[in-house]
Amino acid sequence: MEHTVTYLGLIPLMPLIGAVVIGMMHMFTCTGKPFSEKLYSTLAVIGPVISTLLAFKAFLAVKAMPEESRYLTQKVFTWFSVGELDVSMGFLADPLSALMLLFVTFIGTLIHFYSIGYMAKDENFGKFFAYLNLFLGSMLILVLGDGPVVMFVGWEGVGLCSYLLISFYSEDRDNVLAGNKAFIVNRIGDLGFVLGMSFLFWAIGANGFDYLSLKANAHNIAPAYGLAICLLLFVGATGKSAQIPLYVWLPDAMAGPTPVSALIHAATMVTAGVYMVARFSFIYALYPTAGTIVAWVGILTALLAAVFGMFQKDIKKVLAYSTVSQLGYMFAGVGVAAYSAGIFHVFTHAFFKALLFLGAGSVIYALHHQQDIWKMGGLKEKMPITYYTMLIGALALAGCPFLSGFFSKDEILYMALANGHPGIWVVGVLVAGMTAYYTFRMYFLVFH
Amino acid sequence: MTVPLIILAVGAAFAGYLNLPGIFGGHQQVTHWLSPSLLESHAGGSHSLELLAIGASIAAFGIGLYIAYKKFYHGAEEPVYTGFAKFGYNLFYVDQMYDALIVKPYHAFGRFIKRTLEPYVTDGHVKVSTALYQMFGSAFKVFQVGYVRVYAIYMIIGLSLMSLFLSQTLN
Repeated sequence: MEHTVTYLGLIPLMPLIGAVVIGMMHMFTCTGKPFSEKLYSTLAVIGPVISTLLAFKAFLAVKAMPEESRYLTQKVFTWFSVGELDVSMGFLADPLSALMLLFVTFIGTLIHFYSIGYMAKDENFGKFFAYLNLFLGSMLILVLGDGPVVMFVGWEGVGLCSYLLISFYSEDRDNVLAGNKAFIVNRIGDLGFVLGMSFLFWAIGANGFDYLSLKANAHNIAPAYGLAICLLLFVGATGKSAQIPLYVWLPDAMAGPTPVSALIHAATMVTAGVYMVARFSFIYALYPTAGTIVAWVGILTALLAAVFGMFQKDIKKVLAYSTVSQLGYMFAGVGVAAYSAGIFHVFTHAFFKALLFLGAGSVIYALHHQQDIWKMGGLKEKMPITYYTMLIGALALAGCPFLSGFFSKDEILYMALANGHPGIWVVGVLVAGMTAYYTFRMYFLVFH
Repeated sequence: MTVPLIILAVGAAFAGYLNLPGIFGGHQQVTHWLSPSLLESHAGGSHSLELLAIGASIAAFGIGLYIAYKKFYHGAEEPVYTGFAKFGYNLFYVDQMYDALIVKPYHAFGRFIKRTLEPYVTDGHVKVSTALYQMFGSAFKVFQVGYVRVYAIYMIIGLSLMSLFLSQTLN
């Protein structure tokens, strides 16, 4: 079976081209008469739609392969080669990245379509979609990169885009500060990622610095290095995925337009940390101590964020803390070596959290930018579609039996119990109850 | 704007069935699909343990939903938080703590560097060398008065000295 293909690179390239074209158009017309919103929105969705189709193609191609050798690669060019470090701009689609690709492109594209309505009549319509395309493109590089260095390009890219989009309404100083906070906190995490990556190279990088070679050589890492690598990479993950102690940026990130929040929380950005830990499962699996630390940090973050979520009055803040909390579950999952359960929760969470944010966006839009849930109420009759769709989202988030969130959360909790972490299970069940409480506190206050 | 909501709602409702566990008659397709990429440990679980986990999750969901229903379904006024709730509402003052423990000391450190190290250590040698040039310049400034007659005198003094030296060496 041929493993080398030529279309993987196009998946991130399409939105990136869109970002450059739209960005140029905006830049050259920002002082004069702008292009029509119709033109911008058409250009903005072309890239994501093509990426989604290519992602499906890659997924089906991986699926068609025999189970033991399911992967596709593409080496576009040699990026740099210094001494033993040989890095090429390469892409890898294996079952993990193929699954991530599917929902990142799919949900990302839906959010693009939604944004066309939400951002209508904004004077920086073009700029917004340039950033949004860049965001999606960066996330796709992160997911598709065939080694830590290419992943890091996407990793920094999403960090930059989150900064640009959080402080999008830059006339308000608070928004700029929130953007700065996100950027600086992420930089602190990135330091951990860079150090982890350096240690990894130091330990086993000489025989190739892509995932396939690293996986083959993982058993050669000296134990002390291995633990340090795991923990340093996890520091990176706490920054990007908003875990203790670096979770503080995510709730402030609400300053951006609502579709951006949906994108950050569901498809791009915050899932990166969980993906990264799962991606390096070949190292984490060798160091159960690191896994235990990851799991406890995760579940305690889940608890802390659930406590915060119970008392917030801003609808977006409630949702933001619920994301931090659910991310905690995901880390608990990957920490107890149930990597697929963690990734599955990323997958289901992407649907219901994007849904909840877009629903909240509709509510905020309809109420002329009112975000205080105590000032809302009785929207059930006024917005029936939003009411029923958000009900499904809220039930899924709360872990209602037989909706998506129930199966994925339950899998994590069950694996915690099965893999010998009863403490994590107990906290997890407590947080599950709190999640149901704060989700429906918000829901009832808004709609009833 | 509602079409994406409906599509996502379908996903949110049914995405879970892609990884339906055996206890509900599923085959965990997602776990199976991901297994070549991940190094999972499949430790001992059991049927009863799984039932326990499921039962506890459903109970937690039910209790949480019930309390929320009781308190908020029929409308509620914004409460004034006190005690732990106030602490939680204010996010345990974590931002303030970070501000006091990290941001403020960091700024203070920055100001300290700006006041002491910057002017005296990093900029010191640059400033000393410019000061030397200035001294050098002001010393020579004395001779530059701008009158032609003064320069004529300088010329005469120079020519006289040169003549003197020449006459000395020729002898």
